[in-house]
Parts: sequence; C-alpha cells; structure tokens
Amino acid sequence: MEEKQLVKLAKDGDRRAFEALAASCAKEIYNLALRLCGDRHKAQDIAQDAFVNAYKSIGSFREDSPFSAWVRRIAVNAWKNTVRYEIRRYFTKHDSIDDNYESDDGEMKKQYASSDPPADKVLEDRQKNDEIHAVLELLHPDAREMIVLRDMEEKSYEEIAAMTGLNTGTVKSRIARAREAFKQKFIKMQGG
Amino acid sequence: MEHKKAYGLISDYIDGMLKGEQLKNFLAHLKTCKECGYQLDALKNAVQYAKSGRAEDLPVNFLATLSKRLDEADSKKAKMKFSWPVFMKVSGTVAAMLIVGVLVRQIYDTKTIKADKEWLEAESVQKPAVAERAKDTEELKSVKQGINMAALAPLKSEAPAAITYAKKKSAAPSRANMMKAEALPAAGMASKSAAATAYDMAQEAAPAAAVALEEKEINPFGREVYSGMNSKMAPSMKIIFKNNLIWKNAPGILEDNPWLEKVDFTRQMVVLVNAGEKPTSGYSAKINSIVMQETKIVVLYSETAPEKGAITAQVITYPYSIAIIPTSSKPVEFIRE
Repeated sequence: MEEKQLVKLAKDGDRRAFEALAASCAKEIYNLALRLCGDRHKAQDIAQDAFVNAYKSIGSFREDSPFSAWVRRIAVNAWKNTVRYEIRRYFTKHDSIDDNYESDDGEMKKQYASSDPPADKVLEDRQKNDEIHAVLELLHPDAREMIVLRDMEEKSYEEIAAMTGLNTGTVKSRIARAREAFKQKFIKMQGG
Repeated sequence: MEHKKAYGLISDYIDGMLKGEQLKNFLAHLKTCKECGYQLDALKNAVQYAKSGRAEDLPVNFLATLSKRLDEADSKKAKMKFSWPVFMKVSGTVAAMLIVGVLVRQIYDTKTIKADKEWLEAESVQKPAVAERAKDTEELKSVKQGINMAALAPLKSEAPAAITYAKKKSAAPSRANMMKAEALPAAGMASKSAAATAYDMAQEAAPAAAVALEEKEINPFGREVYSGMNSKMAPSMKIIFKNNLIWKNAPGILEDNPWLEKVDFTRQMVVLVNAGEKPTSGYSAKINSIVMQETKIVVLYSETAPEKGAITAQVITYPYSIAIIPTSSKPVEFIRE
C-alpha cells in the first residue's frame, strides 16, 4: 500500500496503518536520534516519543512532505527538548555545562568509544559511530544539529531550512561554523 | 579574492555551492594560499569522518515498545473521551472550595469562641468596656451614617415600660390596682423609678394581689432603657453583663428597678453605662440608641454634667443607664455622643 493511502487510513484512526508507516521509517528516525544525542537508550526514547507525538497529531500532518520527513522534524524537536532539559538539570546541579565539552587542558572528558576491540562488523560500526558521537558531543547542540543533518543525513540546505524553520542563508552560515568547530574537535581528538 | 573571504567559502565549496565567477576566484586563491589549501583538506577530512558513520539497526524491541506506547496513548485518548478531565476538574474545584470553606469556617469559629470567652471573662472581672469615643468623631459620623434607622426598633421611653408593668400588676381588682392606676400618670413622663415606687406602694398595700412576673414582660425583644442616679457603683464604666453580677456590683440599679431581677440571662444581657461616682446632682448618663450591626453592636450614649454655676444638691450620685437586649456574642462598642 502506498504511503498516501496509509496516511489517509491513519488519519481516519487506523492504528495498523500508522504502525506500518512507523515501521517504514523507524530505522531512519532512530539513527537520526542516535546521531543527535549519541546515546542508544536516549535515541530509542527520542525516536519513540517522536512517533507517539506523530500518532497523536497525525490529523495535522499536511502531507506536503514525506511522512518520514515530518517525523524527522518531530524527532529533532524532541531531541532539542531533551537538550534543554539536560541543560536545566546541569545548572540545577551547579555543574558547568562546559564540562561536557572540553576541559581546560583540552582532554575530552566524555568518551563513548569502547576500549574493547570490536568482535564483528556490527560492533565495528558501533565503535565507529561512538567515536563520531564523542566528537559531536563536544559541539554546541545547534552545531551538532547542522553536522548531523547536512553531513550525516545528507539533507539539502532547503530541507534543513524547512526542518529547522531557519532560512537558507542562516542554514548555510550555521553549517560553515559547525563544520569549523567539528574540524577543530576532530583534529584535537586525533592528537593534533 | 581576499584570504578571509576565501576561508569563509571553504564549506560552501565542499558542498558545491560556489558558481561562476565566485568559484573561479576561489580556485585562483586556493592555488596561491597554502593556508586555505590546508584548511580545505582538514575540513574535507572532518566532513568525511562525520559521513563515515554507519546506520545502526533498530533495537530489537523498538517496534514492540512503540506499539505499547501507542496503546497507552489510545487508552489516554479514550479516557479523555470519557470526559475524565472535565469530571476531575469539576470535582477538584468543588473539593477545593469545600476545603477552603471548612478551613475558613474553622478559623472563624475558633476566633469567635475565643472572642466570646474573652468577652465573658472581661465581664466577670468587671473590666471597663470598649473605650469611649470623643463626641462627633469621624468614627461616630460613620457609624451614624451606617445606621439604618428604619430597621431600628426605636428605644422606648422608660414610662411605657412602667405602664405596661403597672397594667399587668393591676390585673386583679383591688385597692392595689387602684393605686397602681393612680401611679400611672406619675410614671408617664418621668422615669421607671416613679413607676417602681408606685409598684412598691401597691405591693405594700395589697401583697395578696402581687402576681409573679412572666419572663416575657422583661424586655423579651426590646431595647428599653432605664436610667437613674444611684447605681451605687463608684467606677465609671461601660460594660455588658451576661450574668447577675451586675446586681451585686451596682445594687442601686436593682433597688430602683426591682423587676429587673427577672432578667433571663440565658436569653438576655444588660448594657450598662455607669457614669461613676459624682459629687453633686446634675449629672446624668443615657443610652441613646443601640445599633445591631452585622459584626458588632454599637451603643451610642451620652453623659451630661451640670453647667458651671448651676445650683446642684450636694449629694453623691451614681448616674447610670441600662438597657436589656437579647444576648449576643458580637463585640459591643460604646460610642459617646
């Protein structure tokens, strides 16, 4: 069944139609969440929150973009809400948020990469991803969002603008700044 | 192209966003600028590194968990349709209002009981009542303005009470009754004391004709005023009595008005304005009106003294004025007019 038909059924309250839609893009949304937050448990929560919110508000889906793009937008917002919550929690604990980025001597405090050698391809991929997440984690959330959407999700400037509500010019300059920051963290991580 | 501008275009170049003249100028700068060349390589590597991430498989239980969460969302939706929120809101509001009402009532009751207790204690020790007020103060004006004259039962003069009393006593056809009837004119304009005297005389003359007073005869609802000159109570005070201590502290009042023994303190109380011991005659005290307000009782009274140079009898007097009103726990305020 085509996506449009599924969407129509889901809007009419067909739960199975919605689950079919969710299953078609669940991996995509989960990986987006994972790249954004760098934590598999959190990524699962964020992705599921996005689907639940989409389910509740399927009636407002205007169908001017694919269902997955709509849910992706919801997932990015869900992640941003998580970040805001974590920032508040850090300040509540009187813990500087900068500690999560980099210490004074440049040593990275948060290392998601496992020290154990990968046993197979899956674990190898996971380790690779963890290393990338470790660098992304050092970026400001706005910069992280741009790197994930542009370089990891390979979305166009226009798609990112539509997803974030920013204009294309702002997206372009943010991407340039985010890449510069990412490059510096990447070089430092490599011991440069 | 300037180095700074070219440096800022590296990201756009990687994304293939540079076109035409801009691209040409950028490439020309790149050939001559080692720094930009180095930065371009570094940025390309970083971007490539970011892109090197692999999509991971969904966690095994992802879809099952999602299904459960959708179930929860459905059940919440169903509950919403059942209008639980409306029910909860309404019941919550009602409960909150009841709780607030009960609390307010409790606080009010506590205060009222405390006030009543203090009031009774104050009466027992014969404390002076609320302070006198200066004549024509702003407060007096406001109190006067607040009086609904139509709602007030006008204070009866002393004479009608005496007349009523004498009439009652004259129910039996006897000489005593005749004497009481004769006493009426005397009581008509003057005071209760005159009527009392007539009553006493009648009682002495025909004790057999004396009839026990019924309770209702003693101001069941009234605000009748009895004034006199000999309360035999030296301190000047304005006070409410809710018990018969008044007759011990101011024995002269009962001597003047023996029927006051019949005041039922379970239903009635006595308002006393006692001017205190005075060296001569010519002084007086009078309760002018009693205003039953929602939160308190206001007693408006006046006291007079002989004018300078007036001829007065050189006897000690104790001017007083009393009124019998239904008992009440409201505070009483005395205001001198």
